[in-house]
Formats: sequence, C-alpha cells, structure tokens
Amino acid sequence: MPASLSLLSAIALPSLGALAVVFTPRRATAWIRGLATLSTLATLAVALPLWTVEDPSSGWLGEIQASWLSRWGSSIHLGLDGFSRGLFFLTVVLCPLTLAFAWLEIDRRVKEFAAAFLLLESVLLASFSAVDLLLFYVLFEMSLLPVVWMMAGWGAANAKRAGLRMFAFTLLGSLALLVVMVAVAAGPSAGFSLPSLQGLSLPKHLQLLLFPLFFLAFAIKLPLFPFHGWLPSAYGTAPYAVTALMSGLTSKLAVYGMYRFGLVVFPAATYWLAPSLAALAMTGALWGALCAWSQRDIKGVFAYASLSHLAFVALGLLALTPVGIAGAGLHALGHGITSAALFLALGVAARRDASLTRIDEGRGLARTMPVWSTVMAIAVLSGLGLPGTVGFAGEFSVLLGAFLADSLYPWPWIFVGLGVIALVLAAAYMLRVLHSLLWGDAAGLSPACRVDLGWREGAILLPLALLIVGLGLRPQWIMSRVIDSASRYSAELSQRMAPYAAPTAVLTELGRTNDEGLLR
Amino acid sequence: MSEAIAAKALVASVWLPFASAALLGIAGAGVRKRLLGAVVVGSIALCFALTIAIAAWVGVSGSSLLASSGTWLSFPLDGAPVELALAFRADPLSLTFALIITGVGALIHLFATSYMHDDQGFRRFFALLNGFVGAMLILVYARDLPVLLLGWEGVGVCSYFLIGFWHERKAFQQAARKAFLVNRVGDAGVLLGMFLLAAYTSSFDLSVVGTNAKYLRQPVDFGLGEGPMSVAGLAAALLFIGAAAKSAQWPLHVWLPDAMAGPTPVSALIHAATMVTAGLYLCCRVAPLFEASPVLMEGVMLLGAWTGLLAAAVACCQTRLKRVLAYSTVSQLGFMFAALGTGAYAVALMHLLTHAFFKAGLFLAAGSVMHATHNHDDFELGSARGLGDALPQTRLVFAVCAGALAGFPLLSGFFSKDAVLAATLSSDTSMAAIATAMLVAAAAMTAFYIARAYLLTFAGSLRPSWGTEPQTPWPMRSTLVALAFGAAFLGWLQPEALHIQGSALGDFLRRNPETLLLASSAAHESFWALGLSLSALALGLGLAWVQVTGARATTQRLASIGMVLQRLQLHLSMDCLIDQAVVKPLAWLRTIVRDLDRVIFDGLILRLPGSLAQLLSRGLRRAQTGVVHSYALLMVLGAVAAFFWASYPRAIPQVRAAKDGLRLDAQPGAGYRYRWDLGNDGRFESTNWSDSPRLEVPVPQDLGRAWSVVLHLPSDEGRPRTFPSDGGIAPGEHLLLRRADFGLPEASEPASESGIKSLTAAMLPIALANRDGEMRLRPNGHTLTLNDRPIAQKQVSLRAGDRIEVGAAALTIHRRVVVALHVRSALARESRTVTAVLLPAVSPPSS
Repeated sequence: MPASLSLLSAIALPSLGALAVVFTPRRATAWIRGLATLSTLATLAVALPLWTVEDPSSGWLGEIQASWLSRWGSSIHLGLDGFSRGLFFLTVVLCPLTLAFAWLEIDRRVKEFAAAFLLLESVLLASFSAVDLLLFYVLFEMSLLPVVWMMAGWGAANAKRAGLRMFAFTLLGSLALLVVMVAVAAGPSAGFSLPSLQGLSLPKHLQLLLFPLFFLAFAIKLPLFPFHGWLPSAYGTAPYAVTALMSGLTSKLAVYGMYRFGLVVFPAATYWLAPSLAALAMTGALWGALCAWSQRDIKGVFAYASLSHLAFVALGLLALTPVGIAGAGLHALGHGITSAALFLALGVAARRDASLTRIDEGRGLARTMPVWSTVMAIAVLSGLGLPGTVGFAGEFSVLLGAFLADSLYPWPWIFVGLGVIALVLAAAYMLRVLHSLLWGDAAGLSPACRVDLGWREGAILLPLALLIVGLGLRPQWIMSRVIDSASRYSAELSQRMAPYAAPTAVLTELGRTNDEGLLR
Repeated sequence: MSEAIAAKALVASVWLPFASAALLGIAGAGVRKRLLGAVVVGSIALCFALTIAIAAWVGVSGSSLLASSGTWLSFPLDGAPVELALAFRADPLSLTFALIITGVGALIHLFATSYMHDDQGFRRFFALLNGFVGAMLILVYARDLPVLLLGWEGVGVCSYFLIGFWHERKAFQQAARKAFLVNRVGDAGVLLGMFLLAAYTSSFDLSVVGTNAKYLRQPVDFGLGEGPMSVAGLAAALLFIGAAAKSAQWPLHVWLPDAMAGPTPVSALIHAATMVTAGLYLCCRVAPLFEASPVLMEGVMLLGAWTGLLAAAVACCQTRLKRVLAYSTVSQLGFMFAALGTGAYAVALMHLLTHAFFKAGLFLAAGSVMHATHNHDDFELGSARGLGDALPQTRLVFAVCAGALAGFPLLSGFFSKDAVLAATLSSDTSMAAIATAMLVAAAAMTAFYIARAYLLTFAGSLRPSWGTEPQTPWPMRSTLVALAFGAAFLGWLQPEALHIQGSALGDFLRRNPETLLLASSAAHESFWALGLSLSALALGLGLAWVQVTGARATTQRLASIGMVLQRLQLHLSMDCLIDQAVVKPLAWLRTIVRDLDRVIFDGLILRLPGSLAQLLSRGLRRAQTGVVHSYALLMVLGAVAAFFWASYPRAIPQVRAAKDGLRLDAQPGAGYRYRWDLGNDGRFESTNWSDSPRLEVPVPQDLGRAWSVVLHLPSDEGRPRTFPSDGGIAPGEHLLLRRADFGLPEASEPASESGIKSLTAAMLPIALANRDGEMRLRPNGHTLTLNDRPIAQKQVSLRAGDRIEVGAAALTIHRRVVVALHVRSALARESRTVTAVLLPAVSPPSS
C-alpha cells in the first residue's frame, strides 16, 4: 500500500466509523461499542505500514495535496516527517486503548461519545500530518469541541464548569493565533504552505510581536506555566479515558504546532526569545513538581506531573540541537504513553473504589492486586524518569540536548540544573502516589479491591506497561526515526537564524592576547 | 573458548538474573517453593560460573571483552555520531566486582531460600533480588555512562522495593522512600557529570575517560566566565555526589542505617556487600578524572576518614544488632574511600573484597539469630543473652567475621585495614595525618562496638526466653560457613596477589604501579600502621569487655558515656539536620507554591478579567465627578507623564549593511529628532537634527579601524561565531585562533620540554593582528587558502570580505563599524545609543 494511501485511510477510517455509529440505532450499544473499537483498531492496522517505511530524504512521507481555499494560498497538504510520525503513531496506539477503557466507565449516551471520540481521532491524525498553517489552525480549533464535549458531558459533577474554563482559556489562545494568521495573510506572503511561510522573512520587530502571540496559543494548550489555570480542574473532572486522551494526545497538538510552524516561521524571535521561554518552561517544571508534591488527590498529582514533564518537551524544542529536538519528540511520545498508563491504571483502581484516588497513609493494594500494582509501579517509575523506562530516555535526550544548546547560551547549566532538580522532586511526588496506593495494610479494603485486573483491563494496561519498558530499553526504535528529521530541522533553523544571530554571537573561549612574540 | 563465545557468555550472564526474575513473576502460585528456590539459586550460581569463565578468558587473552546486546540510543553530537549501546565490557576491574556480586550473591540467595521460606512474598522477594543482581552486573559491565546509570538506578529501585518489602510497617515505607530520594540526589549528580563530560569530549564511553582526562584540565566555562575548577575536577566532583549517595558517605549516608528495615539477606547482599560499593566502583572507573584534581582527592580521603570515624562512633551507642552492623558498614565504606583518596585503589578494592565477606557473614549470622528467635525485624542487644550455647555454629561464624572486622591478627580484615592505614600514613598530602588519626580512632571504636555486640548476644549462659528450640537449616548453615571461610582467609590474598599476570586486577593496577607498591610494601613494612591498628584493637576490645562484664561502677560510668553518645548520635547521624535544613524548607516551599498556584491561577487569572472590567467601569464612573480639583489633578498627572516622555528620549537604532553603505533606522517616537554619528567620534553625518531617523550613507574608508572575524564551522550548521564578541580587534591588538576552534584535533604533544614553543605554534593555526587599522594574517605554517588561492607568504594583508579557508572551516574578515544614534526630544533633552555592525554583512558559507 503506498504511504499516502495509508495516511489518508488512517485519517479517514475513524470518521467513517463515526458516520457508521451515527446511523446505528441508539439502543444497540454493544454494536456501537464494537464498531467504534473496531474502527480505531482498523486505523492502527492501516497505519502500521507507515512505521516501517523509510523516511524520504526530501519532501514528506505519504504526501497528499488537494486544493482548498486557494484564494488565501492554502491547500489541504498532509505529510509526515520523523518527528510527526512519532506523534501520529502515539495517536493510533493510544486511541484504541483509551476507547476500550472508556467503555468500562461510560454507559450513558454511548452513541454520542463514540462519535465524538472517533471524530477527535480523525482530527488529531490530520493535525499531526498537516503541513499547511491554515489547515492546522482549523484542525487545532476543531479538536477542542469534541474534547470539551466529552469532558463536560460524561465527567464528574462539576465538569461543566471545568469544561467552560478550559474552553475560555483555549479560546484566548485561539484568538491570539487568529491574530497571527490574519497578520500573515495580510503580509507579503504567498500563502500558508510551509515553503512559502519559510520564504517569508518577517522583519525582526514584527516577529518579536507575533511570536509571543503564536506561542501563547500553544502554551495554553500544552499547557506551560503560567498558562495552566485550566489544567487541574479539567484533568480532575473528566472521565479517566478523556483525561488520558487530553494529557496523552491533545497536549501534543501544541508540541506539533510549535515544532512545525512556530520556530520556523519566526527564526529571529526564536533566536531572541529561546532563553526566556526555556526559563519559563523550567520554572514551570519546578512549579509543577512542587504542586504535584502537595496535591491531596492522585489525579491532581498526575495533572501537575504532566505540567512538569511537558515543560521538558518545550525545553528540548527550544534547545534547537538535533538531540534536543529528537529528545522532545521522544519525550512527547514517552509522556503520552506514561501519562495514559498512569491515568488509566488509576481509573482501574477508581472503578473499584473511588476513594482510592485520595492520597492516604497506604491502602496496601500490592497485596490484593499484584498484577495491577506491577503495572502501576512501572508507570510511576516511568513518571519519575527511571532509566530503563521510556520516561528516562526522553528526559535524558532533552537535557543532553539543552546542555549542549547554543541557543540557550549562557544558561544551559541553569536550565539543566533546574530540570535535574525537577527530576529529584518527581521521585518525591511519584513515590508518594506509590506508597498511597500500593503499600500499607490491606485490611481496610473493600471486597471490590481484592479482585485483580480483569481481562479487558489487562488488555488495556499490559500493552502500555510493555511499551514503557520496551521503549525504555530500546528507545532507539523511536530515535532512529526521529533523529534524521530533527538534524535536518535543526540545521535548517540555524541557517535561517544566522542572519539575526551573527552580530551578537558570543564566544568567550578566545580573547585577545598581549603576547606580541608570536606575531613578529 | 573463542571471543564470540565469551561475549555470548557475558551477555547471557547479565540477562540471566532478569530471565529468572521474569520466570518467578510468571510462575503460578501453585509452583513449589523448593523448585523456585532451586531456580533462583541456580541462576545466580550459573552467573557465577559464567563470570569465572569470562574472567579466565580475560586473564588468558590479556585483553578486555566487549559484548553488545543492541543500541540503546544513537544520535549526532557536535556533528559526530554517538552510539550508546547496551554494551558490556569485562575488564579486570569490572570482573573483580562481578565475581563478588555473583559469588556472594549466590551464597546469600541460598541463605534466603531458607530464611524467607515462610514469607508470603517469597516470589516477589526473589524476583527483586534476582533483578538486583542483574542490574548490578549491568552497572559494573556498562561501557557507556548512561547504561551505567541504567544499572545504577536499577539497583536503587530494587533496593527501594526490598527495603520496603514488609510495607505494612510505616517506618519501613519511610526508610525505603528515604533511601530512594537520597540516592536520587546522587543520581542527579551523575547525570550532570555525564553531561559535562559529553559536552567536552562528545563521548560517554567509560573506557576513554582516562584518555580524555588529560584534555580536561582547562577551567570549566559556565558561560558566565570561567569557573574556579577544571572540567575534569568538576565532572569528578559531580560524579562523586552520586558515589557518595550510593556508598553512604557523609552527609548522604543517612539512608543506609534505616535501610536495614529490609529482610536480613537484603541487608547482607545489597546494603553491605555489593550495592553500596558501586560508588567505589564508579570512582575507580573514572579515577583519572579524580587524579586531575589533587584537592578533590584529598577531599575524598578526608571525607572517607570522617565518615569512618563518625559512623563508628554512632555504632558504639546502638542498641540493636542490625543497626550496629549498618553503621559499621558506613564506617567501613569510609575506610575504603579514605584509601581511594590517597590513590591506593588496590587497597580500597582489597578492603571491599574482605568487607563483602565478613560483613555479609555478620549480617547473615545476625539473621540466623533473628531466625532462631523468631523475630525477623531486629535483635535487641541483650534481650536474650547466651545464644552462643544454642547456636554454636552461628557464634563461631559471628566470632570469625567480627574478628575480621575488628582487625584481629591474621584474619582478612587485619590485612586490608592495615593496608588502608598504611596508605594514609604514607600519603604525602598535608591532611594525611588527620585522616590517619581519624581512622585509628575509628578502628578502636570498631573493635569496641563489635566486641560489645558479640558479648551482648552470644556470651553468658543461655537464658531461654523464647519458646521453641532454635535451629538453623542447612542452606543457612552452609552459607554462613562459606562466608566465614572467606572472612578468615581472604586476607592471605595480598594486594600483589591480585596483580599476578592475567589475574583479577592486572590491567587496572598496572596503570598505577606506584599505588601498588605502596599497597603491598607499606602494609608489611609500616610498623607504625601495624602498631596503631593493634593498639586500637586492644583498646576497643578491653573497653568492650569492661563495659559488658566489668564491675558495676565501671559499667555505669561507661553506660553514662553511652547515654551522652546516645544523645549525640541524633545529631551526629545528621537526620535532624537534614530534616531541618532540607526537608522542612522543601515542605514549606511546596505549600507556598500550592497556595500561590491556587490563588493566582485559580482565583486571580480566572476572576481578574471580570473584576478588572468591573473595577474599570466603576473607576471611570467615579472619574466623572464634576469636581474641578480632580480634573486638575488628572491634568497634572498627564503633564508629568508627557514631561517624562520628553525628558528621557530613547530610541533603539537598527543598522543594516546595504549594498555599498549602511542603512540606518530607528523606531520613531513622538516629537523626537535624530542625528547619526558613524564611528561614534563626534562627527555627525548631518549637521542638522532630522525628523526622520532613516538614513542611507556610504561608509568612509577611514572609519572602522577595528575588525572582527566570523568563523564558519561545518558543525555550526550555518550558525557562525564572531570573534571577539565585544569591541572588536582594535588597532594594536591581535587575535589567536587555536586548533580546537576549528574543530581540529589537538596537535600531538611534544616529546620533550623543549618542544613547548613548537607545541604552541602547532596549536595555533592562525594569528590575526590589527596593525594601525590594517589587518594582517599569519598562517603559522599551516596550509590556508585566501579567497580560494593558497597563501604563500608568511604574512598577508587582509581586506573586508576576505574569506580564509582552514580545512573544512572558513573565516570571513569584517570591518567593525560603531554607530551612535543621538535622539533629541521636544524639550531638547538628548540621549545617545551605540551599536556596532560588521561590514560586509555576514552571509552563510557558500559550501
């Protein structure tokens, strides 16, 4: 199957599934569930060939172009590179698992949920392969509605309020993004396609004006400190499957947008602002870690842990070194898997006893649910970045990339030092969760908590645990696909930054010497 | 045995424990414990056999063995590809550790099959213990630092789960968490040290650290000016943080005494014989880095001696058997680090080897006592005297191992401890005497506390305070005997025995022959060391005898000293201090951050827009008061603002190089007027102030007597660097570019002292001088091309825009022009902003 057909069918299949769900009678919930799960699995199956294909040295993998809004120089232009291939695969792998979990916790208005979920998968897959800014913008906006709907419609009692808050925050970012789009459209550019955007060399002051707006949209979506006001309530009230989806996948939209468009279109702003933004990110990494440490609810711990970890992804991107960018890709993927595993494993416990999600002296689930406890322990260890889990591979590459980054000069020491402190704190808050759930006396547990994983729960959690350990021992499987495009990206970006960089580039290795003898 | 088979054996020996652990995880509850026990003990014993075979192969072939089981990560670093593989290198140093790990490990596994037989977590216990052995092997065999970290944190996490094995007890949970968190701090140090090494050498390979260390003596560059330490020294110090945490050196030792919460076999294997020596392994592995910094070496020696003394003092006032042994471990690790700090690696390793046996023996004997008294938690000293009658074999084993620990003549510890004392005695650093004094005091205390523990447990007549008849099953007995045998006789294996051609430590020690000399000769010839250690032994034993069995008055006096020590212990053991200085502030910080987060992001940001609008509307409504005074006030305020705007004019100049001149521009401000001054020499480009900041001017030839050089390296990826970054090369100054600046390897070092001049020249491909505003280049004998023509002369004049190629790198020469922008406000206030520009404009290299 040619790559472009594979890509197109992967994007289309969930939507077709949604269409089929819409025409299934409301009463036939078993059919709806089966149909929806099947279409996510079919998406995974058709997308698999894309993983094995060699990365083309130029152009895009599975490139598709169709005319659309050509008046504004935009078109439906889809394609993958090494970096986005990782995110694409994260989506096709996580969607079946989260949907399967959703069927364990959602039993009303199944039809609507299935349709919204499948639509979201299509939108996510299309976004991760969009290489046209206007197209990406439209998809970015489209992804918001199903998420808010699923969260507010099926979440806890106060989920509507949280949903509204998230909507308001994200809308603010969208408005900022819209301003940038209008500015670009009004400017001298030939359109929104990536080549024409790259050819567009905006004057420096305009870049410095527009880039923060552009960044704001993604800082809210990711989220980055201090734009995370919506995060605790949204993650806290959504159904576990939706939380896993938000933290695992929709946050990656921001990573992709930053990677694909943000840095490349505004090289001067990137050059000037990278250290400040990295400082913001690392402050957020510490802030998130400290907040996670002081939460009384495990969902809150994981939410703030997400804030802390995604700051590392941002740091990797801002490092602009090949290792840093590839590390950002690796960590985005690793964080997606880890945080999905954390939320879903917690969801499994919450199905048995909802009070388990409160931080406590110790419930002793290790005695009664050993298999589940093993999975939870693996996810938690990946969350604290233990070597041998996928969490460490990403953090290691990001920190290494940042340490060697010229773009952050002369601050890499400080950023990496802060990152390392955040890792130490990660151990503190993650072990707190582990102790609360797994350790302690099991005497007070309800009978439901004495039943280990059922086969469906096992089928959801065990693949995630395997992925965490497997990719932790062999991160090269991902890295080999990401590193080439990251190197190309880094080289191209440096070239585009060069004109802005030259007059102030600093290198203190050499100074003047007073030793006249050598010159005579 | 061919190399390929040996390599396969190496890979197999590393993964075998994991396979056995996985098997335990999968095995159903119905499988008999005897079979499971056979599997776990068999797997480690097989590992031991494989390790012996590998050691034999390495010994015979005389070269180290490298085996890879796949790439972990690979990426380009500064343009060069780096491959981090799950690759294992067996050389004498790592094999020494591997033999101890698998050998002692197999014995302790055997012991544990009996000890843990009735525990409901039998399978979990052995899965973790096997996993630990595997991770430890990864640690000592790892070729690359990140893979070492994989083993390093792997053993940490196994240790964490095993300390908290009986997790129903809250205190045990806390002990486990403490161990993990303290070690996590150490891991952070290792991570940073690793990054620092990678930044300067683009390599993570542990075997080339020695080769690289000599290039790392330059001061470290923090980006904010040069730091006070050399790169090698800082990297070693960072790695030492990790080593100190793992090997429980003061003040990061606080986790180890609490770690005794784990089952006794765990204390014996992980927290006495193997894991805690990982720090020592790392330090030996990167020894050349430490040697590059004598201050650090001295610091390590003093810290080791201090840890040894402090922990021995605290051990003297413990009331529980396992805690005595735990502090004793900390103390003995201090001895090892003291030896390491003097550069006597062989001595440190020798003591490590003997300690592995006698301390494991002591722990397991203690475990045997606890097993017999049906108390797997800990043994309260003096709670059941006279156990010697009931457990004669255990008593003998304990006596032999305690003798070895105390340094009883002819037992193993006697030799290795003497060697440590001899090493510090004969060290020529200024602090060596202090370290020796501390160590001798520690040795006396060691004899005291272990004799006291022995007497309070085994001496006297049996007081049967426990019900059933104690008995020791055969796996426990045989393990104890084997360990006691090692504790008794390993001392005869002198450091130089380790040096025999092809045997354990050959290669590693051959690098430091003087060390070895010191270790072997000093141990015998230094009567001082012998005398000191024997008198310390006698003193300690005597005191212990008096305290336990002496007259009541003496005992009480000693007991009151003990009480004082008991009080002191709380402070000495650092727990309080760390609690006050680290834990409490952090807890305080996290509460503040949490509250801030809630207030700012939950409250303010969410409510701010609404309340702000409300406030604004209310304010505006209030503003329409009709009261003339307030209108007047507003007017005044506005006038003040306008006055400041006019009084402090500011504009940011933007200077771009145009085709044959400069294009000048700035952001216009209301009412401002502008005047440009090329060269910032007071000669303005226009006589009058202009309303527009824009100006296009040709550059006069006499301007720009300073020059700058822009370096384009292939590895820069189009991002050139400017030399020098500040004021340019002014007339009379010059700039030297070294080989390293072009990404070229360092020139090989000269053979003799007289070669220094030629070395400097060889390291300097290019010298650039500004002779009265004219730029000259001296190629220093290197082959360079100037604007695509090779340079023939010894010295060449340069013009702006010239391009010099040095190998794959290129230099472009620029005139540096300073431009000043004067701004004048409506109030005739003026300000000046200066900026610099390079001519002709920088462009990326054409290649």
